[in-house]
Amino acid sequence: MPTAPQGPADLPWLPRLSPQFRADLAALEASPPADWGLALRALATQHIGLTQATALASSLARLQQAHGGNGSLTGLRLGLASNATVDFLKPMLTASALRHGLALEVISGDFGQVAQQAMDPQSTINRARPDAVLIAVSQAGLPLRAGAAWPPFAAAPALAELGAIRDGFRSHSGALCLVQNLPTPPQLLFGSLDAATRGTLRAETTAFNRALAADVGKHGDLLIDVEWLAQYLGLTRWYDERQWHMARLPCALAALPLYADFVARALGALRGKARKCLVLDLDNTLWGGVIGDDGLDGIFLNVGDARGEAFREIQQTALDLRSRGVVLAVCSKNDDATARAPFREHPGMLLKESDIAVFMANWDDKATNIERIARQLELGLDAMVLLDDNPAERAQVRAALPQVAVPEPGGDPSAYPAQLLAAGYFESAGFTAEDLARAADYQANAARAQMLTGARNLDDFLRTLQMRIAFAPFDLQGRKRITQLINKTNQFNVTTPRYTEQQVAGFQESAHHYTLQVRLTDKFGDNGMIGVVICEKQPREWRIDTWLMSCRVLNRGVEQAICNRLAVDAAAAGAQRLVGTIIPTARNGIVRDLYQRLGFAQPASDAQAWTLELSQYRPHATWMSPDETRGAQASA
Amino acid sequence: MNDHAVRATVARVFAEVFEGEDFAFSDQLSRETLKAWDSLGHIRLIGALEEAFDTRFTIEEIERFTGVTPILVRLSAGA
Repeated sequence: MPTAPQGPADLPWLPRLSPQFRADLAALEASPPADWGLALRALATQHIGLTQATALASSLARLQQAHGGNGSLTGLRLGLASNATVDFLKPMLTASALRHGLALEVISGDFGQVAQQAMDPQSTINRARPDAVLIAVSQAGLPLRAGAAWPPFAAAPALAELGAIRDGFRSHSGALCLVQNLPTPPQLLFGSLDAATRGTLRAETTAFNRALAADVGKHGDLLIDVEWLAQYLGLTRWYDERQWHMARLPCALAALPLYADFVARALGALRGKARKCLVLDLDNTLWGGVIGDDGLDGIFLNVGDARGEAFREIQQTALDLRSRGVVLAVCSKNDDATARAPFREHPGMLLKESDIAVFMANWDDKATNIERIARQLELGLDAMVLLDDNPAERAQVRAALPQVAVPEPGGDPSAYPAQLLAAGYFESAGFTAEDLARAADYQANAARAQMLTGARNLDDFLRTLQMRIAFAPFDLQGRKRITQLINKTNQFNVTTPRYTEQQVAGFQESAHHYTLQVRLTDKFGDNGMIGVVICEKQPREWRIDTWLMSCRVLNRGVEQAICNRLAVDAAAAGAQRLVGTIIPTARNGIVRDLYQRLGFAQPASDAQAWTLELSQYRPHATWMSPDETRGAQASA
Repeated sequence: MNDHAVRATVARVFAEVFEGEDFAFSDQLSRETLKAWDSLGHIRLIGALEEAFDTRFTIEEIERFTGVTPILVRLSAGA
C-alpha cells in the first residue's frame, strides 16, 4: 500500500514507530535498567498511536509500583476537565508526558460535569489536589449560542462561564489552570462576511479567544492555544463530526497524538523540562553543501537562490530562538578553521560566531561533543536539541544520549524551521527579562570555562588523573570487543582495516603477528578497552598493520605509552625498527600527524612508510603507571 | 484490491487495534464475541480501517459494522 506523505498529525519530527516497540517495552519491564524512567522516555519518543500509548501508560504504572516512585521522571498530577470523552486522551496524555520527562497522573471528573467539578470543593478533581488542571472545553461545552433569533452567537456569556470554571478550580484545588481557547469553527454562514460580522460563530470565537488571551495572565492561568493547533493541522482534520456525534471525541481520533503532545510540552515547561540549547550541525544544515569539499564559493547560502534561501531561513530561525533566550551551539565534523570560515567570510551567513556559545568542530563523535557542549554550558543533556541533516548522526546521538532531543528535520531544508519549531522543544510558560539575557549569560560562562580549561597546565591535569594502563596480547575474553573496535573506529585509526572475529582469532594464533589490547583506568573509573594494535613481525622490522584508539582517551598520552610499549617489545624480539603507514580517510584526520608526533622519520613520499629506528629511541614521557593487576586476564 | 487482500488487511487492522486481546480473526468474529470491541474499541477500529483503506464510512455504515462480515462486504464492494 502506498504511504501517504507525513502530515502534522504524524508528529513528523519524531522517529517512526519501531516494529520492535512491543518487544522493547516488554524487555524494559522484564529487566528495568537503573534509569528506567529515561528508558521509558526514549520509548515514548517515537510516533506512537493509541495502542502504544495505552501500553506505555500501563508500564509506567507497574514500574512506579515496583520501584516505589517516579525514578528520574518528574511527577505531575493533572486534573482533566472536559466536555468531551477523555478515555482515549488520558493514556495519550500520559505517554506524551513521558516524552517530556513527566510521570503524569491524570484525574478526570465525570463526563460533562465541568462546572460541577470546578465549583464543588469536594469534587473528584478538587479533592485530588492536582498540580495543574487542564480545562478542555470546546464551543459545544460553553453557552456560546445566544438564541434562535439574530445574533445566534455571543462570546460574553461563554467567557463568563469559563471564568467561573477557572475561579472554581483555582480556589478549590489550588492548582494552576491550563485553559484551552477555541478552535476556529469549520464552517461559515455568510462567507467572508462572517469574520467581520459580530454574532457569527466565527467572529464570536475570535472575540472569545482574544478576550481569553488578554485575561489568562491576570489570574496566573496558562493558555493552551488549541486555536493555532487546529489551524496548523487543518480544520478539516481537526474536526471529525461523526466521531463527535458517536463518541464525543475532543478532536478527530487521528489528531489525538498531536493534541496530547501539545498539552504535554506545556506541562513539561511548567516543570522546567523545556530545552534550553539548540546544537546546530553545519554542512547541509546551516548551509547547502560541504564546506570542506565545496569551499566558500561552492556552498549554497545566497539570496536569490532557492536552496540558499532555505538555509538562510534555518539560520534566521536559530537567531529568532536566540533572541528569546535559547542558547546556540555548533557541533560539526570538520576542521575548526574550515568550519569557521563561512561565519567569518561568507556574506550570506546570518549567524555570526558571536551568536554561538560553544563552537565544537572536530572529528570526534557527536555524542561526545554534545556532552562537552553541555558541560561547558553547565546544562543537562536533557536541555539539548540537535538539528542535524545526517540520519546516521541522529541515530548515533539518540542511541548514545537518549536525553538529547534529536528531531527528524524534514526531508528538505525548507522544512527544517517549521519542523523544529513544531516539535515544541522550547515551550515556555512565561517570558521575562531574564530570558532575554539568558543566551548571553550562558555564552559568557562558557567562555570563562574555556579560558580556565586553556590556562590549566595540561601536564598537571594528566598527573591528577592517576591513569593506569594495561597491555595484553589478544585473548579470547577480549576478542569480541577487539573486533567491535576494529570495525567501528573511524577517527583514531591509522589504516582503518576491518577484520572479522575469526580473523582477529587468526592474528592471536599467528606466530608472525604481534597483538596488543590496551585498557585504561583513571580516578574516575575504568575506561575499558581503548586501544588495539596489530603488527606484522618481520626479522628486521615490525610493520604496524593496525593501530586504533577510542576517542574518549585522546590527548592523554596514551599513544605515547603505546609507542613506548611497542618499542620495548619489538627491540626485545630483535627487530631494528618500527614501520607505519597512514591511509587517509574522510574521518581519520586526527591521525595524519601521529607518527610525526611520535618521532618516526618522515618518508620521502606519501606512498612510503614512516620508520622509527629502535636503537635511537628515547621513550616518551607519560603520566600513567602500568597496571599489572589486570594484564592478560582483561575481559571485555 | 481483491477480496483476499481486503481480508488480509482487515485482519491486520484487527490485530493492531485489539493487540493483546485473546481472539482469532474470522468471519464469525463480532462485537458480541470480542469483549474489547466495545464502543470505544469500535471508534478505534473504524479509525484504523479508514486509514488502512483510505476511505470514510458513514455513520450508518459504522453502526452496521457489528461483526467482521459486514465490514468485509463494504470494503470488498469498493473501498
